[in-house]
Amino acid sequence: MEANQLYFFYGYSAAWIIVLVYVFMLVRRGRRIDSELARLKSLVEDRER
Amino acid sequence: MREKKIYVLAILGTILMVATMYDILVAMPDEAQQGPIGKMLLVHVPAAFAAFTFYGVAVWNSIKFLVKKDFHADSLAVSNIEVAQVFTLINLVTGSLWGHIIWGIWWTWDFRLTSQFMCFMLYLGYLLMRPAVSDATQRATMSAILAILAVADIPLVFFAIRLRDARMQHPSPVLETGKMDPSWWPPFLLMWVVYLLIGGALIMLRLRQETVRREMDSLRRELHAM
Repeated sequence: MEANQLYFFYGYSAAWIIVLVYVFMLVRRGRRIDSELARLKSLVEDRER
Repeated sequence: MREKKIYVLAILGTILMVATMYDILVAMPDEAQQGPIGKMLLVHVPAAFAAFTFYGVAVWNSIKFLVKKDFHADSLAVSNIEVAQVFTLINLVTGSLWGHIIWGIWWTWDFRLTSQFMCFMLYLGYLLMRPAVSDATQRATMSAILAILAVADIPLVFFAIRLRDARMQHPSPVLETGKMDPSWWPPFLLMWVVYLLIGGALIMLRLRQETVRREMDSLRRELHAM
């Protein structure tokens, strides 16, 4: 495959890989935040008792 | 309800993306002078347009925060900026790949490339600054001011092409010369819509995290007061 065609393919792949990596980061961060929220809620409940 | 909206936007964006990608990669002929790499324009420029749209929404919400002290506006601003950064990065990477073939170099410090890189760095600074400020009101106020100041770079990116130095290297076929083939407009505009739909879904996902973070902040304050 000539370089012109190859770099065209790289460009389109890169665009969607960047989006996918960001989605992966968002999902991971979301899980971490959710577990931190659950931990804080249980701490508040424990202190209230 | 919000999750349903995220799914609808993401599914619509993906369907439209597959259809547009088929059109660009398979159905459309190569660009007459540049060959296949010329079609990079259809992913490169709409990415910048989508990023500028999201930066615009972020600035609007930053102003709204400064006027009304509405923390939801601050959350919307940071969500839009983070997603806009993703599209700015796509714009920079695809531009660099195109430049490697057409110019024979990965990068040059001409006005347009430099101003776009500055835009990326300024808003990266915005994102890095936020966790460093612990007080929520101070963080949101400083972020809003930075977001508004940084947006001054966007007209520079847009109009850099009018400057002699940039015009010598960077092509301006889309908005200024009117030489783009009419058949290229539908995929060009569709790619912009694809980015807006997918970006919209990502912003809503990010907004949910910001809302949870605010809830966590109030829980921490509650714990501290106990």
